[in-house]
Amino acid sequence: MSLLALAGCDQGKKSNLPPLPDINPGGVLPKDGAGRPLLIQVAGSALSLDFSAPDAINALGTCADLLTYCVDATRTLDTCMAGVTVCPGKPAEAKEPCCPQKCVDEYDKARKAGTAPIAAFDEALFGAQSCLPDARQLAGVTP
Amino acid sequence: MRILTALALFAAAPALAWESTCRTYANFDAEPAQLTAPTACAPEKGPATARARWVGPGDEHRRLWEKTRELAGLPETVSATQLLTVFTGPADVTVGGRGLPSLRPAAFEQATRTQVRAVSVGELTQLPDWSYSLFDWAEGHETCPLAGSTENPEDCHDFASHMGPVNANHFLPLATSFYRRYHALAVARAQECAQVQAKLAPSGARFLVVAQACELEALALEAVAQHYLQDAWSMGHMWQRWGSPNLVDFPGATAEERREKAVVIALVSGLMHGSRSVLQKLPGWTGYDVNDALCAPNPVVQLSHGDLGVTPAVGDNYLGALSGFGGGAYDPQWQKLASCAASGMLEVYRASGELHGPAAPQGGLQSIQPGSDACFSQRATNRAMLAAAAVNMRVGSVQFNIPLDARTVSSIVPTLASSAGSVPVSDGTRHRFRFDLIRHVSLARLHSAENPDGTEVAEGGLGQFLGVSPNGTYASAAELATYVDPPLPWPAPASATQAVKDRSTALARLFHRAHAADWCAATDAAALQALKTHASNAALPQAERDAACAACVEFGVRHLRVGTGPVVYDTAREPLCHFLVPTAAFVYQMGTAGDDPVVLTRQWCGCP
Repeated sequence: MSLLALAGCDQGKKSNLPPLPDINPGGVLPKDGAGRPLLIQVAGSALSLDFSAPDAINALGTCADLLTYCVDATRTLDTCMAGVTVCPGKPAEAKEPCCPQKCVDEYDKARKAGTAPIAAFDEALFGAQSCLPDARQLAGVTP
Repeated sequence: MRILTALALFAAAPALAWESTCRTYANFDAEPAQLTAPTACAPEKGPATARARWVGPGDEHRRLWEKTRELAGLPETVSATQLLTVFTGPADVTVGGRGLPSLRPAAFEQATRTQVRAVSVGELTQLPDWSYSLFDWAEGHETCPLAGSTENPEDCHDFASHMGPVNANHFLPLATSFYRRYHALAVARAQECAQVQAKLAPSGARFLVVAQACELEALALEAVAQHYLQDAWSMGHMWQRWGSPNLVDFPGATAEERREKAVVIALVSGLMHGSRSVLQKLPGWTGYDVNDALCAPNPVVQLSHGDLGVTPAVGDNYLGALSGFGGGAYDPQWQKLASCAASGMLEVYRASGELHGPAAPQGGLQSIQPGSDACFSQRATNRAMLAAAAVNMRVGSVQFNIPLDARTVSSIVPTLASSAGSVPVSDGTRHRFRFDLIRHVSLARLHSAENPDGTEVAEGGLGQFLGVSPNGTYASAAELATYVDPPLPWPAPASATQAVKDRSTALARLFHRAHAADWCAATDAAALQALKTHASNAALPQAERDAACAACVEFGVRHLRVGTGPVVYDTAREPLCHFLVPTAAFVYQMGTAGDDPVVLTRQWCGCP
């Protein structure tokens, strides 16, 4: 029996996972010349934050946060994966935090094969069969 | 495009473990407590730092050494400023745009200048933050020992662009390997010192200073070793930072590609380590209290250790928080660090024969094998590693904790200083950086939730970052780094490689009194004659003649018998080399029983 089926979650449907905490680091961080929040700046080098042009890697980040923030003493990764909001279309264009159905499927497959939860999560999101292949491709990760 | 020195912003702070400092003083040769009128080193890298004292605000490593010395009960005299006379050649070196006389030791019979290096042993605990190794310091930071780099000495020693990116050896478990290597060198050298002292016993206390100089050199090696031990007990270093101490181990087709990768990794490592050292100085941050984990006190930051269990800990910039420094907290962390450090120091001091006076360790210390797991098995917990992935600061009375979670790190844009100004890293590097960092922080969050007191994350369990392995991969390499100090003896035998010979010779020339036995053996009749010929050359410019005479006297007196020749000389005043080397060469100079051998040697050298 699929873990997803256990949770009764269908593709494109919204679940009752806890909402993600807001990220608003710009409030207190200094800004760079382009008005972006700075994590650090020294003599022309910087690490800034730019939320303006989300891509497939941002979508991967959102999906990952959705799942990892969910896990706590009362919710296992299995529970969270089974209850995750599934993206109705392209993850990068989603209006709400979500994960592609393939994440759930790949995770489920790995779990059924005896893989431990964290390793199954790693495999499903970041592995060769990543549920966000566009992110993996953009990052230039080779199999 | 060449990456300039400032590109590794994050790297600068993280690399400095417990803090190190560099200052120039008007009275640079004074005792540490008497140094006055400090000025910050400029530039704070390369040859300038080799000429300075590493004493002043922020010298946490030195303070740890001095506290350890007190606990181990070594006499205060081992902390005194040593003045090392170096015989150098005619070259100048660029220091902050100015040409200054080189500090590189030259062959004694070719000395054209003398320079004085002033240092106390405890300062050398900061050496790995300023130098690649002790021979690098001995050579005045005037070369670039980092294989794969061809930059000038100042760039080569720039912390942000060169030393920081390869400082994975300041993090566990690689720090263990470096401690063991240097501690073993220190003990071996101390044992040589004991042999020297045994040979000198028939001379009474006449040459005790020679054996004591040797002991201080052994302790100098231990000071370098203890940098890595001290780092191992700084909370920000209790995890497997990715990377190697060798630049050539990083992936890339060119040195610049390897360095770019090394720098980006250093940025992330600095983030995890805690970035107070860098952020606190920035204009936008000076009004904040950047209390950034892992080093800053944090309610969820703890170490896990076989004996100590799970216990809170702090690191760089927060030495004063330790119980041993008046902080009244983090006592388990301090007690274990203190016992490990004191045990290591005592092992060296006892091996050399306690030549500055008997050690009287204070009560309460544990005797521990200093290179054992008891001193190096501590690791940050998974919960601590998750807390590391954040920027923490207090603004007024409000504490801000900005999590570097998967969404946040997916939006990072790294830009690097370059010859063309500030430029973004390549798209390929940026995207891979974001992807790998998302994976890291996500897995850290899951491990923290599943096993908060576990150490899977700190043990390198998350694998590679940007194609670079956690530092434990490099911990058992036969050659830890291309720039580590050479094996004893110094100078090296003729069968050694040229690099080992060059490096060991530089060390033996700097610590030439400590190496009196080696030089007594190496200085034959021809070498003595060469010293004399150089010194007696009245055609030399005065300054060069002075240097030549100083070298001739320094080494000649060790071989000088007072008399007319092998048959008639004062056997009650045998010179140093008589006791150290049975086959030593001798020179002879007539004199009375009351004549100072130094004065007689000066006469023999033909010096005015």
